[in-house]
Amino acid sequence: MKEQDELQDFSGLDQDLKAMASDVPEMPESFRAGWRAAVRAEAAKQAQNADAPREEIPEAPAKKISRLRRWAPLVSTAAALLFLVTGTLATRGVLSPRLRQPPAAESLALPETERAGADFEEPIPAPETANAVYAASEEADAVYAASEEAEAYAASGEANAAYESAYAASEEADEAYESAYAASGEMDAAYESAYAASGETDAVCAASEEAEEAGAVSGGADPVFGAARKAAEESAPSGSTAVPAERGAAPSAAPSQENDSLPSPAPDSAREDFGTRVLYFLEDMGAFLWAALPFLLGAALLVLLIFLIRRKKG
Amino acid sequence: MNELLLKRARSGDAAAFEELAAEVEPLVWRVCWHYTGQREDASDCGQESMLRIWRSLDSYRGDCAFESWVYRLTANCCLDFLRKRKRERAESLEPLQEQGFDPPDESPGTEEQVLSRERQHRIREAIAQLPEDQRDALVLTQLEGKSYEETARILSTGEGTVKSRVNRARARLKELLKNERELSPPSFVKRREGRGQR
Repeated sequence: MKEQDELQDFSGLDQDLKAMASDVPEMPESFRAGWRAAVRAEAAKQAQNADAPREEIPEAPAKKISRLRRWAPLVSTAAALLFLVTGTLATRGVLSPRLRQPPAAESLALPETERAGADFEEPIPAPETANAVYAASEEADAVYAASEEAEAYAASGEANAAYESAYAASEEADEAYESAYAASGEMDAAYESAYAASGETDAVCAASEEAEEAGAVSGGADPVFGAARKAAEESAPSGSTAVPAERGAAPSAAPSQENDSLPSPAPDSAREDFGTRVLYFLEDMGAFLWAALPFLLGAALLVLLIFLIRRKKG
Repeated sequence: MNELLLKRARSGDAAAFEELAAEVEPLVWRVCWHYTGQREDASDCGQESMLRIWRSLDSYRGDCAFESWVYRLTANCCLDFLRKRKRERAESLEPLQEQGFDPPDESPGTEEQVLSRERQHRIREAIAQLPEDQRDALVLTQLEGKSYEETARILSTGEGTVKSRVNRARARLKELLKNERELSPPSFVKRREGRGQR
């Protein structure tokens, strides 16, 4: 039944189509005259337009077009470069894989905390801004300054102790000197007594030998005194200028001092820096291009579509 | 097709174009008639098509038959014309129809004639909705009465392809007409019903 209906439908359609085909009226004369007049008018207009520019503006449009054609590649290249560079600079902080990595910030913060001797075993939890890094470095500076003060204080304490011991040693030396002086007095007395008593040479000699022994004792006290003096001199200015050996080995804490103490960069390293920057920029450019690729493809498709439609219509 | 005539016509010789177009003039007229179904519309559409052919002569590269190229240009021109006319009618009649105005039948005749015209009008509208390749094959074979071989030459394709396109076009046409019939009865039926109610 259904097939019969379909056949009937088709036959009905075919009949209608046949009727339509045979129902075409003869082409009216007005139609022929109409389009011919229209074409002639159009041809006359075209001829006028073709003649007029030759007389009025000779070669001007052609020159303009050729100039445009000459500049077109340059302008399009410049526009493409501008797009690339501007896009890269604008999206650098967002798209660059290098700047998106948190370890970069940690690597800036960690060495300073280590230098300050602070016990930071856990890394700073990915500071997102430079402020966090700066705060951490300031904190490390404070810790380092405190430890420096403590070291200076300890050094000055040691110096005081040395001074006291030197002072004690000098006192001992004084005592020895006095005793020696007393002995020499005794020697004089003995000498006088010996000379006065008999004038015997042996006795005098013996007495003088005794006196010499006493003088040796007195001379032995001098090195102790000298050593004490030297120690006192060394320890006296320790609070202001003495630098402990350990601290001398440690690097400076303040970044500005560190920077000041760094040697000025050599030309080679400057060249390397420039190369690295260029490489980073190219990397960012690649990231930008990769991100912009879908949009660029979309735009290209759109342009292609427009071009095809225009071509088809034309 | 005369190459010399074509060359002269391209250089702006209107007489050469007239001579050249004389061969395709009947084709343009018939195609315009099949699409519009009205004498005046066919005439307007045909003139527009001829002017378009004249203006586009430079774009004809000779990679297909001149007849085929003319047919395609004319068909596109007719579709543009129908779209434009539909838009204009909708714009001009919309406010009146909202107020209950029923436009009178422009072509009087017996009920049979009216029915036939109505049906042909629907078929024309349905043909305009067909995909381009199917429409071309159907118009050339069923309405223009060209053989499959001729149609294949005009459309620069194989005979088998033309046959399959015609079959698909017929099926699609039947479907379109069926849907339309279900959605709205012919206008003369509406008018008759209206008269009966009065």
